[in-house]
Amino acid sequence: MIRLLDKSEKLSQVAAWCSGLLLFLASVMIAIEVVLRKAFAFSIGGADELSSYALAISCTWGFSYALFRKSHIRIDVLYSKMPGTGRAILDLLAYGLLAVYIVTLSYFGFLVLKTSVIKHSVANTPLATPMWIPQMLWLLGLFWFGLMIFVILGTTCYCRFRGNRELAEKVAGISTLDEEIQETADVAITPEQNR
Amino acid sequence: PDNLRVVGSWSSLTLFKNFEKPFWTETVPQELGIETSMTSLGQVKLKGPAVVRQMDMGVFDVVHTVADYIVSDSPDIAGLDLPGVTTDIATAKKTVDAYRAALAEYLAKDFNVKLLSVVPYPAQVLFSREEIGGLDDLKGMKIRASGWTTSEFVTALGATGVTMSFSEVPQSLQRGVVDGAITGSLSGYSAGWGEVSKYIYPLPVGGWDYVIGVMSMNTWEKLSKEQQDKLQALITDKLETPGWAVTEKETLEGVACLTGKECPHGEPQNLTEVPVTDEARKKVQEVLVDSVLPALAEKVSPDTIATWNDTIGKVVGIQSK
Amino acid sequence: MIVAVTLFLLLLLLVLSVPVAAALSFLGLSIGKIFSDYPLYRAMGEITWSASTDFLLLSIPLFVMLGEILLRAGIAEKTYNALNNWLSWLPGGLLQANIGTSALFAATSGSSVATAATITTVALPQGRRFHYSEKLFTGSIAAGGTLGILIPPSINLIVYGFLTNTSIPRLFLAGIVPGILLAMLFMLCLSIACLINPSLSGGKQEITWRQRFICLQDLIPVLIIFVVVIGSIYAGLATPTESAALGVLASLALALRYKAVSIDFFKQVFEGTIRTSSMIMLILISANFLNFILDSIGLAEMLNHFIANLGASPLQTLLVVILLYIVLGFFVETLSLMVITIPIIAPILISMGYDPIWFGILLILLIEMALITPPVGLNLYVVQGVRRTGSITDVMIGAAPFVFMIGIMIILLILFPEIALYFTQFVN
Ligand code: NA
Ligand code: NA
Repeated sequence: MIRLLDKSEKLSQVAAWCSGLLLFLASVMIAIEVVLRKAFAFSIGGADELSSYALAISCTWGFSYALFRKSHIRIDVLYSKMPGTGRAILDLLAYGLLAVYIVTLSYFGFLVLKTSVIKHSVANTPLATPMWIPQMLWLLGLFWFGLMIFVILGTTCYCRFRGNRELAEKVAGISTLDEEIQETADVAITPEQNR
Repeated sequence: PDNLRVVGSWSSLTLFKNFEKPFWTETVPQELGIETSMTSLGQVKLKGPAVVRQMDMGVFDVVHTVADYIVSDSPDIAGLDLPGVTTDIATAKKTVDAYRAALAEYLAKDFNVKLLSVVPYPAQVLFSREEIGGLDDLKGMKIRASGWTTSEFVTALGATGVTMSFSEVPQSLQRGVVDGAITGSLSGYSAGWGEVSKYIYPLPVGGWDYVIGVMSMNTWEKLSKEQQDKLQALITDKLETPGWAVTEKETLEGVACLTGKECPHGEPQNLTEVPVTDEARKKVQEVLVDSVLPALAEKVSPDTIATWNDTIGKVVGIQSK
Repeated sequence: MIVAVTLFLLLLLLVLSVPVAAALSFLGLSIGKIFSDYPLYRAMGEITWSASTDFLLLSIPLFVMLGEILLRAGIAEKTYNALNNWLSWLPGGLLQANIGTSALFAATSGSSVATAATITTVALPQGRRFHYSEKLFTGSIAAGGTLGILIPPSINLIVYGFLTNTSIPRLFLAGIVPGILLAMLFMLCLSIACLINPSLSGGKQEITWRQRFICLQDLIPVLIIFVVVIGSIYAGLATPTESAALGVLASLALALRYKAVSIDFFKQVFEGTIRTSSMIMLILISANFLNFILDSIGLAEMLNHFIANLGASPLQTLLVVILLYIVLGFFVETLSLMVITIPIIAPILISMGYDPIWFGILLILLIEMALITPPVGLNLYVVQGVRRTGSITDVMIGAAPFVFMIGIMIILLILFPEIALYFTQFVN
C-alpha cells in the first residue's frame, strides 16, 4: 500500500514535469507567433487555439502533483484546534468530497468527449482540430487525478486500521504552518544553492 | 411546461436588448402564460456549441446563438451563411427563407432542437487601417476573420486570416497586429473599431452572422399544438420580422456613424467609405464558387450540397459543381 | 432563503476544511439541486472544458512560470544592491530598498508571494549585517511584497477580470499609479518612523556616485522583463497571455545569461509552476461552475432587491463591502476570498454605478491588506518562512504600520477615483 503511494507520487511528479514542459512549449509557440506576426507579417495561425488545449491538459495532469504537495487550499481554522480523531474525520471528509467532485466532473467530462466523438466535432477555426483529441487527453488527466485521490484515501484508511496514525496524518493532513514555512523556505533558498 | 430557461444572444447588442429580452420576459408570460428566466451567452460562459449541447440534457429550454458557433458540431449548418452569397439584405432574407426547412432539419438531427427564428446581425463588413480601393488591395493584409468560411474567403483573396477574440480586435487594429477586421458595422462602431481604423468596405464579405433561436425538442413537444402555433406566430411577428428590419436599419446606421454622417448612436467617426463596384460584387461570387463552395463540399455530404444548390443556390443563381 | 442556505453551506464546508475547490463545486451542485428544477449540474463538463481552454487563463500559469524562473535565476540580489545604493541616503536606508526592490520586482511578477519570497531571500542577510530592527525590516518586506498584485502584471487582477468580464489591459493600467503611490506611502511611513526613532534603522553605508552609476546596469534585467511584459501589451504587440509567454522566454534568456539553467533548473521551475497554477486553476474552474449555478438561480438579482429594499445608498453599501473584506481578510486565504465573493459582490456594486475597473483596484488593495493581517496572512508566513528564526509575531507587528498605509490608500482611491481611472481612458 505504501509502495503504491510512493509510486503514485513519483508518477504524478513526472506528470507535473510533462505538464510544465507542455506549458513551456505553449509559451514558445505563442512567442514565435507574436514575433513572426509583428516582425515578418506572417502568422502560423492556431497558436492560441493549440495553447489553450495545452492549458486544459496540463491542468488536469498537474492536479495530482499539487495534491501530493498539499497545495490545494484547505481552511484550517477548526482543523488546527481539533484532536487527532477529529482531524482524521475531517481528512476523510475532505478527500471524500474531493473524490465526489472529481468523479462527478469526470463523468460529465466523459459526456463532453462522447458528444464530440459522436458528432465528429471539429473546431470552427482554420486548424479544424478534431475536438476528441484534446478532450481525451484532458479527460485522462482528470481520471488520473481521481485515481490519485482514491490512492490517498485508501492509504489513509489502511494506515488508520493498522494503527499507524502518524503516517495517516502525513498522507492526508493539512500542511501545518511549519511545513508550509519549510516549503517556502526551500523555494526561496534554491537560487543560492544554484550559484 | 410552466417555466422556460432562456439564453439570449450577446446582451450588449440591440437584438437582445430590444427583442429577445422583452419577447421572453414580457410577451411570452403575458400571451402564453409561461414563466421564463433569462440569461445571455456572455453570462453562461459556455463557448461554441457547448450551450446548445446543454439543451438536450435539459439545462436550457431556449437558446439564441450565432449559427457560426455551432458549426463545429454540425458542418451542414455552414451552408446558411457563406461569405459573398448575398450582398444585400433583401436577397439575404430570400436565401434564409429558402434554406429554412433544410436548416430546421439539420438542427433537429444534430442537436434535437426545434428552429424558432433566424435573424442576422448587421452585415459583416471589413474595417481596414490600410488604404484600400477594393478587394484586390486585400492581398497581403492580415485580417481578423472568425470562422473557417470567412477565413477561407479572405485567404482566396490573397490575405491572411487571423483568429482572435472580439475584445482583442480594437487594440490589435490600433497597433497593427492586424491590418483589417471583419464584423458587423454597428457592433464595430460600438466597440470602438472606428477609432482605430481608417477605411470601411461596406460589402458583407463576412456574411451576415445569423443568430438562430432554437427550442429543445423535448420542451417543444410538451407544448400543445395551439401553444406551438401561437409561439411560432409571435416569434415571427415580434422577434423575427422586426429583427430583420432593425438589422437593415443598423447596417446603414453603422456605416453612417463610421463615415461621419448623421449618427443616432453617438459621436460619428471619420472613416473613408470604399465604394462597392459591380465588379467587386462579381469578384466576391467568383471567390465563393472557386474556393469557398469547394471547401464546403469537402466537409459535408453530397446531399447537403444538392440541397444548397436547390435552395440558396437557386435564389442567387449560383451552383456548386 | 437561498442566500441563507448558500452562506450556511459555504461556511460549513470551509470550516470543515474541505478543499476550497471541492467546497465550491459541492456547494454549486447542492444549490443547483435544491433551488432549481433544471438539471443544472449536467452542464458541469462543458462549463469546465470551456473555462479550462480559456486563452486568457493561460496567462496565469505563464506568469507563475515567469516568477519561478526569475526566482531561481538569482536576479533579485543585484537589483536589491543597486536600489540600496540609490535609496540608502533616505531615512531608513535598506528599509527603503526593500520597498523599492519590491515595487520594481512587482513590475515583473504576477504574485505577491513570489515577490515577498524573492525579496526576503536577498534582503534579510543584508538587514542583519547592518543591524536593522528585525520587526520593521521583515514587516516592510511582507508589505512591499503585496505590491506584486497591484503593480502589473497581476494574477489576482486576471482572476478578477475573468470573473467579471473586465478588460485585463485596462485593469493592469489602472494598477500602475495606485501601485507607485502606495510604494511612496510605504517609503514615507518608513522615513517618518526612522526619523522619530533612529534605532529602527541600521548602520550607515558610504556609497560613492561612481558606485551608484556602475550598479545601474544591474537594474537592466528587471527593466527588460517589464518592457517585454507590460510594454508589449501597451505597444499593441501582444495580449496579456501573449505578453506572459514573451516574459517566460525573456526571463529564460536572462537565466541563461546568469548561467542558472540546467535540467534540474527546469524540473524545479516546472514543479513550482504546476504546484501553484494547478491549485489556482482548480479553484477557478470550480468557482466558474458555482458562478453558473448562482447566475442560473438568480442570486445576484435577489441580493440586489434585498439591498434596494434596505434603502442603502451606494456609498453605504460600499463601506459595508469594505468592512466585510477587512474582517474576512483577517481569516480567509486571499484567493479563496476573491473567487467566493467577487461573483456575488462585484455585480451589486457595478449595478449601483461603481466603475468595474475602479472596484477591481479597490478590491486588490483590500486583498493586499488581507495578505499582511494576522492570523491568516500569506505574506507574513512567506517572510517568516525564509527567516526561520524568531516568532512570526515580530513580522505581524512590523507589518502593522503598512496596514494603515494601505487603509490611507483606500481612502484616497475612494475620494479620487481618477488615481486608478485617469490613464485607462486612453486604452481601448
Ligand atoms: Na505585479
Ligand atoms: Na489576513
